[in-house]
Amino acid sequence: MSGELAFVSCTVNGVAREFHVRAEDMLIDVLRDRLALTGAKLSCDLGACGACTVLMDDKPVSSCSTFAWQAGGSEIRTVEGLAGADGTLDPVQQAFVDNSAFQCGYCTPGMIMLARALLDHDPSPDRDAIRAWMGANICRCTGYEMIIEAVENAAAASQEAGK
Amino acid sequence: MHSSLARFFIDKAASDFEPAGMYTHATDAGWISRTHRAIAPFRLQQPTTPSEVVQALIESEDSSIIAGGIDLVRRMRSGNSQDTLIDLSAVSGLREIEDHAGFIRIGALATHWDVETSPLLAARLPAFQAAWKTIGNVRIRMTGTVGGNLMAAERAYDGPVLLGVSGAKLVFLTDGGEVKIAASDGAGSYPSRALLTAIEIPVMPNAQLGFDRTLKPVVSVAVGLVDQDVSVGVGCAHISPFFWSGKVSEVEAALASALPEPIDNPMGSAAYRRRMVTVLARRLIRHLHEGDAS
Ligand SMILES: Cc1cc2nc3c(=O)[nH]c(=O)nc-3n(C[C@H](O)[C@H](O)[C@H](O)COP(=O)(O)OP(=O)(O)OC[C@H]3O[C@@H](n4cnc5c(N)ncnc54)[C@H](O)[C@@H]3O)c2cc1C
Ligand code: FES
Ligand code: FES
Repeated sequence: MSGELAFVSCTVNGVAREFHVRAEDMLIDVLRDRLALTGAKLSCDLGACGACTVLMDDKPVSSCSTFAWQAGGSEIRTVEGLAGADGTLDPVQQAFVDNSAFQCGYCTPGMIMLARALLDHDPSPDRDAIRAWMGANICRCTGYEMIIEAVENAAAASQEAGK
Repeated sequence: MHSSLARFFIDKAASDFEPAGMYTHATDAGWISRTHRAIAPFRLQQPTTPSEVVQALIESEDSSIIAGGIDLVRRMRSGNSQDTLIDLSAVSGLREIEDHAGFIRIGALATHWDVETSPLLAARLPAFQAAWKTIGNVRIRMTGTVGGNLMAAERAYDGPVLLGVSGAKLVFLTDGGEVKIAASDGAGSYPSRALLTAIEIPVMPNAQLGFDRTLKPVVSVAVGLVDQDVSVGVGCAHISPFFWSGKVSEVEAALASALPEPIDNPMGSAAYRRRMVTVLARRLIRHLHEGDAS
């Protein structure tokens, strides 16, 4: 059986990147091992838990189950790219801190990116919409309530700031 | 690996999993797990037209189409190696959802999200759209495709039962031209080495659809109703979905006699699955008759 190199050109957190990958390389390994972006975490390795969630053209994807070449031509966003250049946290990150929306923190980068995708898509989701959307990712620690509240607060804070 | 989610995957795809060994990965801590790092090398082809896809399928017996990749990656991680993957992302014209006389055509590359957010489906097939929205979660729905859901031929997937009871036709492009198959004929009748290009769902003013997935992965039931004519689709309970159609008045007797012996395992006994098929089908038909589609 023969493997093959693929050329991938994409942007990661706004920076243009080009690299050669083997066809079987997964996006999570390229992000973590080659770009040192270790926010996305590997957990189930099945596409089920969402700990590895990053945004690909605004869409939350499991980077454990996405081949790196599938990211070709796209804009990838990871948790490392959310804060401003001066270190100001994204409203979602700030709300996770303010609401203590994590314990061990392993699911948190994935949860934050999932929430970011929701608010990009719908800036003022109601609680049911937040619950349905955030149900895509699994947290073994918090019991979810603080996460849901953090997303509600992030939406409110963004609305307030936008006024 | 023994979370309930992992068990769900193992149960519904037991046949995909090879004995531990070749495709397991030992970590420094001594844990042994299946990992995406065990995916064997493969060649990648990126054709741009449907006929090039079919040509590529025929050229290599050991090749597979990749759409969203959700299902294929899981299989490859479990040891199912492929010489070549044929990526559909550069093929245009396979993702549209269009209105035709008497039916809606959904391109095979339409994602679950495309179905969920289609204004056309909201207007013409609202019950179908509502049922399709219950698939997976937003991460899965934004990447997973309608075609991939069908072609994965998994007994626990909802696409085959929903389309089967909706009277849908699957449109394939084969080496010999276009072939249409009734969705209710099941995966056994799909042509081999073919590209699924679209799904055609009839639009009938008095057609109703009901779906109950609350007992997944033990059993799921979908019901399509046109006046007194009913079509029942059963997922999860057998190796592949079971379909029956006839008159509403005959449903219970027909299910009692025609339903093949369900899977019998610790997740659900055959007797329990059999009983629940009838209970859920009867309940769905009653709700549809009473005008409560959920
Ligand atoms: C956490 C999780 C939860 C899920 N929940 C649900 C659920 O509730 N209900 C449900 O129904 N499903 C569920 N799924 C399954 C999901 O819907 C499917 O995996 C998805 O739709 C597959 O689409 P894909 O485009 O990623 O397929 P791929 O992985 O790309 O392809 C799947 C198979 O189909 C073949 N194929 C794909 N497209 C074509 C084509 N056009 N022509 C010919 N062959 C083709 C491929 O060769 C492959 O064999 C879940 C999956 C996960 C990971
Ligand atoms: S690690 Fe990717 S979804 Fe769980
Ligand atoms: S904070 Fe520990 S898994 Fe979510």
